[in-house]
Amino acid sequence: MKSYINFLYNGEPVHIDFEKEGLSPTTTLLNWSRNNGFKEVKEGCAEGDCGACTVVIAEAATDGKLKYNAVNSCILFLPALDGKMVITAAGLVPETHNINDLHPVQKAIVEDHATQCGFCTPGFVMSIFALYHTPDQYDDPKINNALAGNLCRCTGYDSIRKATKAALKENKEDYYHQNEAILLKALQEIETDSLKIQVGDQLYLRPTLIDEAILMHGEHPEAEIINGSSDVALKQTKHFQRLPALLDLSALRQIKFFEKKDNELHIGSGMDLETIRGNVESVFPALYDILSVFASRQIRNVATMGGSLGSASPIGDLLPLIMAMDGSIVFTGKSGKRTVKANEYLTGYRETVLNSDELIYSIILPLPQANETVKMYKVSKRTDMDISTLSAAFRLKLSAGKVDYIHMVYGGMAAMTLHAEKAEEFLNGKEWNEHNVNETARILESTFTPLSDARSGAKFRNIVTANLLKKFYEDSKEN
Amino acid sequence: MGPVFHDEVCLADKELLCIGHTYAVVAADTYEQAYLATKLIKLDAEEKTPVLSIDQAIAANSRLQPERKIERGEVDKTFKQSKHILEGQFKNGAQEHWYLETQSCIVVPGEELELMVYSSTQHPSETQAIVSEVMGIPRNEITVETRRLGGAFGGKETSGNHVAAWAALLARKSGRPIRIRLTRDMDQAITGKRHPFQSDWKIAFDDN
Repeated sequence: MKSYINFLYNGEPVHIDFEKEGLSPTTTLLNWSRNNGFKEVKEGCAEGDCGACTVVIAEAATDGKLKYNAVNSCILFLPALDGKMVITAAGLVPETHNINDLHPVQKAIVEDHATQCGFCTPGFVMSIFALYHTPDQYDDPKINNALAGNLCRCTGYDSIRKATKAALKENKEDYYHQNEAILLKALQEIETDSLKIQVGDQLYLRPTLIDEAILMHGEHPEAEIINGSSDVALKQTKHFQRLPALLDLSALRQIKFFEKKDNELHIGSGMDLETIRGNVESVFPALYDILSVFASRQIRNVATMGGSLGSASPIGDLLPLIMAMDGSIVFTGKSGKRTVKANEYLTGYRETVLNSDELIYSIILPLPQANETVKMYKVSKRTDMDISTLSAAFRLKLSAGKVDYIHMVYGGMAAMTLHAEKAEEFLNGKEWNEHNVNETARILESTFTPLSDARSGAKFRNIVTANLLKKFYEDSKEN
Repeated sequence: MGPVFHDEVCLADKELLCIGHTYAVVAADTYEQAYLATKLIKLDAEEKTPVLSIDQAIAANSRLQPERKIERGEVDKTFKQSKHILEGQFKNGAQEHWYLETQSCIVVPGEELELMVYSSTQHPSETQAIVSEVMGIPRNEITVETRRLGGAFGGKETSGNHVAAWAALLARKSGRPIRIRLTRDMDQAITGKRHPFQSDWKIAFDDN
């Protein structure tokens, strides 16, 4: 147990002893960077929406190589950096006025006129730099997806996409390729351990073992649980709340796993959503699709499935699909593990069956079978990087043209995620045709009594609830 | 103060016209301290019926400016004689410029009355004029310097002036350099921006 962290910042070692320095453990990486002279890290929104604060965090992956992730530094607390490497735009090459000395990503930005006012540029550069170190076949949709978490108000994005392609095509070795072995060694030499930081009235716990986490959770039930902190951090960055106690699960390797067993996925609650997304494109397209529009790349790199379920939001984008698949959630606590059905997880608005001494351990998600059609739709004002107005997951099995079973699970329509039970029952055993779908759509229009809020009115939500079934019907014909 | 019509106050004193209408500014060593200090301000005000839509504003005769008409042709005569008349209404919603860098300003007090103003303004000479008016000092005492802006799109032509004036007031009062950088939420609430429009239209035409 220690109260200090060590990390590399643009290659330089940094040591922060929170208690000695009297530094709040919930200091964000953005604020720390700017207060220490790294002004290339910008604040545009302080809520992980605009991407101006994007930096890259690199750490040793399981394959022994460095893995580069773009993240929003505005909503990342410093303790999460222990044993990792932070790279900002200024860390790509030493300061230079010669364009030929720039990093290939920076050079492409200049040559393709992909910057105007320049405020968003360091963030874009870091998102593209992460791609530069993540080999893949990059086409327009993949580039768009990777940059969906960066806003630019000047360029219109075309020039940025062009620059991204040019940089990725160039693909010559940069400082980080050339020095990978040295950097890996420097990271390995950092002694990481559980953190317990008490500064003034703030307590920050970051255990490295699950048993330790359960113990700490028991001792400090008041501590708010975080992993990527992409949700909880906003309480501080937007509302200036002083978070009194936090239990950070991001150092628990035991809950970072992704396994395919028979016809199920077993996903550790601490697994980041971007890695899950990368693993499910062919085995579970509906999950891939919803994860592709879940927040942004920067958020998905830190956000976890456990966090999404733990916040128990009525508009969480994952639970409808997990419920439609009849998945399960595994809890762990002092008295061991127990498994509950995802359909029995929520009990009310942000209320769950999770006991106060338990943590979410993993999610068991059955895969769609060959004779099933599974889709998930998200309706939001923006395609990317938006909160759902409503979302719906559908799972259908037909036998000889008739509905064997259908699951329709809606988010954003009530205080919690719900099955449209009446509509499901109505369709069971019936022919899967336009007439019956339209009849069911009529039932769906009055199934829920949603709220009217900033995102939409109740009437719109009810109409779309019905229309999504019609969309699913059309899509099901393609399969 | 104001860009064309000088109808805005630097800080509200008698009447608060909207959410984000600023009536006090606080200086502190850190952003968090300043924010927490604003929470201690007690406002003694009575509530009036708000005007929240253009229709309500028309009904209450609460107009920004006189009604404007664009007409072409012999209007009265043509409407009387024409075979066909169409009419309708269109509404433009309010718009926010959303420059990536929010309104920012640093004011450094110099010798005697001098003020050095570093403002993210698109209109340095207007910023100079407004700071001069608010501080009651000649323009030649004020130097405005503008570095590269983090976006503007017209949103920093006039809205930066308030921030510059507040920083100047605090700099004079404290005798220390003052930096104001609005948070995104404050920026959107405080700066007025492109307000919504409502236009009624009527057109006359014949069979040809």
